[in-house]
Amino acid sequence: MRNFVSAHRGVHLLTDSIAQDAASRDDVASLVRSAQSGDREAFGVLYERYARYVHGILLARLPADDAPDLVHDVFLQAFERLRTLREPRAFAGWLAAIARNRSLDQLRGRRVVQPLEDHPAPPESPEARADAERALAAIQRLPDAYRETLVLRLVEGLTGPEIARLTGLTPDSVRVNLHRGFKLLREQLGVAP
Amino acid sequence: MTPDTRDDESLWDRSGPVDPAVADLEARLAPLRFDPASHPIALPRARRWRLRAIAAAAAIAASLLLVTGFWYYEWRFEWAPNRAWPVTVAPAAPGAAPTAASLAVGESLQAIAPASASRIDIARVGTIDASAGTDLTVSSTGARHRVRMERGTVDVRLWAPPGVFALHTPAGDVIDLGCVFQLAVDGDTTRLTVRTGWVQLSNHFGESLVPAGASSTMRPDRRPLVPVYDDAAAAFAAAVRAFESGDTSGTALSSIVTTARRRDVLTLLLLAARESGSDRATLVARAAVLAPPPATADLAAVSSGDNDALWRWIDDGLTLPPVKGWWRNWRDALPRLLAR
Repeated sequence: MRNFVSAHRGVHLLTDSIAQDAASRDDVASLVRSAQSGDREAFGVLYERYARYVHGILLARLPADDAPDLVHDVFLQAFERLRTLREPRAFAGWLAAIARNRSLDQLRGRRVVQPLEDHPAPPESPEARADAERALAAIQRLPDAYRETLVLRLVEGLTGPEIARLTGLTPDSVRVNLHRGFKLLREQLGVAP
Repeated sequence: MTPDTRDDESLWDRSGPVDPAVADLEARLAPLRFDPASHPIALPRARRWRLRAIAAAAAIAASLLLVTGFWYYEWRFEWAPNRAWPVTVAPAAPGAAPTAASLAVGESLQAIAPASASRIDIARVGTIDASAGTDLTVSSTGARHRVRMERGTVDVRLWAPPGVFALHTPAGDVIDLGCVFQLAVDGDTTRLTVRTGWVQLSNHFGESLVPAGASSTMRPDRRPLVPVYDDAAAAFAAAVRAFESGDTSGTALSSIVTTARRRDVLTLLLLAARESGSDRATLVARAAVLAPPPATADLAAVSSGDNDALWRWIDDGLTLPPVKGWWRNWRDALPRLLAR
């Protein structure tokens, strides 16, 4: 009985997800087209929607202090190149590619991060910050396949379906990555299952 | 769904029972979460689009300018054969308005402005400012413009290919090679001063090319005199003219040699080209001191009478006023008010 309910619910979730997915992509495509034709507000909406995603990608690879500045770098680069994006629906993947390349550049030390002019001071205590960075370091030691998914889920607070929608992975792949990655992470951190 | 992932709804979408381990890690990592509202992005101004717009506007403007310029260039040279030239006659009394008239082929300016200064449009390619009392008659207009001038002073400004405009004077022909010049005709003497470009004086005895900044004189019974720069020493100019008039005492030649500057080498060589023997050798020797000949001109050959070598010296070795070109003398093509 429990299996039946779970499976039934899973079907609903899947159909909901597909419908949401299509609507979201149309909406994004419309925003991208507006931004391509010079609508800066539309690009601002895209920034609000995708900033956490980009931050998560960067944070999966780079020190926590570097990531916020690089988010702006990535979006400014995207803004300059937006006209080269031929398929507006592919915005998320295109943006992720810029973010990943940018993080690689950063790791190679090729580019200098331009600090944000008004970098807000972290509101949390230094201890909490240090603890967060320790946890992040543990995630960054995980295999590639799990890092990005776990950061997006545990740091940026996205859900599995949202991660699937953004990354283009199937929901099952995301679920597997989350599960296995989390298991490895708990082992690393010495947290009991 | 695999057995591994069956009971992880909390991790998947927070829909199941709270997993304390997940909740704990979310809480620990929360300080690193990015808040777009706290990091508003400042997009650069649309500099690129503005630059593109400016570039496009500049390209359009340049194209229009090019087309207009080309049309204007062509239009300037269009003139029906023997069509009259417009003339503006200066008022006889101060304060009166100038009179518009036209000067037909065969018609004398004296018939229109016997005692007034006047401006004559040479079709659309230039103007003649004639002083009061100037006597000139239009011989032909069209592709080539010809004027017969008997007396007076004219300031001519032209922007046209060489030979399009010429004046016939009692002393010989004055052929415009594209320039601004002043011409005075007094009896059988024609005096020329060139401001820009070059002018050719020509009669039955020969010709003389006069560059900008130089003057020359032409009479009907002899070859046109060599050009002398207007900023040359007065003694030099006087000695050159005396020498050309047949001074055989050696005084004129001596004065030429002692007063010549580097810039006067053109005059020295043009004089030498008309001479032979020791006078030529003296002039060439002085020229060689002031401006040694280029490798293309052998000094001994020039001294001994080789005029081809002498012209190579002039062409390759001297810095002469440039032949008129649109890129240098475009101002001459503008209406006179806008130009010098």
